[in-house]
Amino acid sequence: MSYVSEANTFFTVLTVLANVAFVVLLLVGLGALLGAAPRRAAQRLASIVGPRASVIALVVAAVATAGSLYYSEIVEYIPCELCWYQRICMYPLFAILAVGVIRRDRAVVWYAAPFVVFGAPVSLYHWLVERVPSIAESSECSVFAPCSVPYFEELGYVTLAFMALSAFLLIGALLITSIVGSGTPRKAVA
Amino acid sequence: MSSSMCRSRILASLVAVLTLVAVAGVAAAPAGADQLDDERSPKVTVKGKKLAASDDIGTPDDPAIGKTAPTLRGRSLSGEKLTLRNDGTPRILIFLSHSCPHCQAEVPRIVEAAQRGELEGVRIDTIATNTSKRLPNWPPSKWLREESWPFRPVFADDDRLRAFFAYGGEAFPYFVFVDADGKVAGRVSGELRAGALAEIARRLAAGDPLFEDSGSR
Repeated sequence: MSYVSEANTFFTVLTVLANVAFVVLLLVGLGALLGAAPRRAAQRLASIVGPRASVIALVVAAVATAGSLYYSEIVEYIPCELCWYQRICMYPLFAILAVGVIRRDRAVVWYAAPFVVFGAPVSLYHWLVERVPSIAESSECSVFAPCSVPYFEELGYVTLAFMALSAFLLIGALLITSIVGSGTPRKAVA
Repeated sequence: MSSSMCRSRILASLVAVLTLVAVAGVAAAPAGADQLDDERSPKVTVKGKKLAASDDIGTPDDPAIGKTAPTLRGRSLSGEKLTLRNDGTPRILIFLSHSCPHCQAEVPRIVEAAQRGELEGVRIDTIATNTSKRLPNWPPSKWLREESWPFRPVFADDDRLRAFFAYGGEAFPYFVFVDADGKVAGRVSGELRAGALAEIARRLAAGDPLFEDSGSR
């Protein structure tokens, strides 16, 4: 049994939590630009989250990778073309963050950043194509896993593409928090 | 009355009632009907040579043009046995996938064209393909009913999309135009521009080629 419905609910809850965490980090970051008091609050939050940010980002990437593999290998959802581009960004992200965390290398932020920078827009585009199929200059659905047809949709908007987008955004926000909360990243002395 | 006679009468009455129930049940079921839980034919059989997929679909160079359209045998969405074959009437085979947003966009336009009488003179054979409970907008019967799809019965493709692949399909919605001789006059996939289907139907019904330079085919 693949427990698809339960898995959908589980990953949807994680997605919503990731969204909440991302919005909190974003608002705190934006608030820091407004004045001294919000900046102090942001610095306090960054000092708490920053040193752990890489580990949290690794957990997010691990869950995203596991979820991706679960849906393709156990539930047997065939990944579409855009899904593959997101996988190309997410899977190495997990490996790079894992190595960075194990080696306590704060510079891992810079190695991981490009995957977030490329992955998040692809996820956003994919999610928009699911919302408005005409965005993808095609008037047809390929029989081999069309990008415009989500396998499921929870809460009216949470699809696999949105889950990936949420993961990329949260990882990105955590990487920034890692820089802010830990000072200038530099390679740890082994 | 002896007790054995009484038992015999009760037994006879019971047999009579059961027989009546069985006869009524058989009579109520449509001939050949076999409810499809997943709205897919158990297995579609294809008679005749399958049409090849091609990058030239939608152009006069489509290699299927002039080939005989294969016959499809399977079930309708409601479970009745159904055969789609050439019978001397120009036909448009429309392959639709319930989960495909482009099919969902195209269906109302076809319904409107039919309501305006623009598809007169051709027979529309609808094939519900790529049907899966896992995909959105399932089941296709409900979707088409809600869209007031006028072309019944709808042929149910099977789990291996044998009907779709027999006609060389690669994407939905997929249209195959068959002339009165049973030969393929053209194929196209994707949403059609406004009025295109009506124009194609008019040409098919009149026996005109669909492409200006394919008259020799």
